[in-house]
Amino acid sequence: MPTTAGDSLQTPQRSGRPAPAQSTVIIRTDDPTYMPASSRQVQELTDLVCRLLRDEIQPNVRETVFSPISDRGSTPCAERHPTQARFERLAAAWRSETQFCSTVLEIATNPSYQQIIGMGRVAIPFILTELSRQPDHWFWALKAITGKDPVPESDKGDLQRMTQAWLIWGVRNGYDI
Amino acid sequence: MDTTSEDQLKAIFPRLCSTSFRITSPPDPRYNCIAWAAGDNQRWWEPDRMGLYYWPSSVPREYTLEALRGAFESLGFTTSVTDDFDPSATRVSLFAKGSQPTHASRQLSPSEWTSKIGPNVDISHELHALVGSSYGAPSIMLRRPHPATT
Repeated sequence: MPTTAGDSLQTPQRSGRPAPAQSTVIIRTDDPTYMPASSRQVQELTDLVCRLLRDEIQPNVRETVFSPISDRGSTPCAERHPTQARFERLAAAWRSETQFCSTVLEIATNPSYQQIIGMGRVAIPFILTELSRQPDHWFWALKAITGKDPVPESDKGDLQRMTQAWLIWGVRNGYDI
Repeated sequence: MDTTSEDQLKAIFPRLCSTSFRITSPPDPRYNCIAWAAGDNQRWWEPDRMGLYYWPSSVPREYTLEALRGAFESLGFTTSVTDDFDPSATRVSLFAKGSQPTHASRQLSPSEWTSKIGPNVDISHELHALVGSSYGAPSIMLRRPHPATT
């Protein structure tokens, strides 16, 4: 189905306000005519933007942006999204540097781990994906970033159950694991 | 986790180079040295302030030798006054660097101890083979009589 900007976007006008410039799109959620976009509409808009801007995007970024998401997991680390590549680099360094540490205090204060915490919420999907592959000591980072701890008192210290609790938390909070 | 070689362990604990030791399990992040010394290979024991990990509820959550000793006392261990092997008891040695607790080992036989190395492997070793810059030295010896059998 051909899609144009006019099909997907509306520019609400409110009386008494100056009309925006012709090329500017303003979406106001308090406008009575505002309707939230569906996932399909968002996808259509994303596709449109990608088609219009394909030639404007730097060649080295283009392959990542326009490749199907399902394909990205199999690409070499260096070709992945820079944030994911950075996370994976830090996670690998963290594992290597802490493999003989006796306490989580040492494990979690490792500089690479601290940098992952410093990435903030953007690191959460990567951490949850790592957890879904193999239980490991990501709980300190998850609590530091989210302020949450979904693990019941009776499961403290049990990595399998702690992992399970965080993966359920992830699904309930909209993370695609 | 990648396979751990004996050479990696010797680099961390140089005294292993001149003593007999062996790796007795694959790497496993589910439990640590304290849990292993306490006989638990299902949980990670840690007195973290965030309360993420298991720690006996009656013992302060702090990284001190006293708190570590308290964790074992909560299981019935008492301070041992002798270094001799006691076949009627389980003995645990708490390591420290200065006043900072670093590690716990459990005795298997007169000359053999077992240790979990962080989230990594279990090894059997001589007690003083782990002395060094990583774990410091044995600081407190604890014992608990084996349960009476009928």
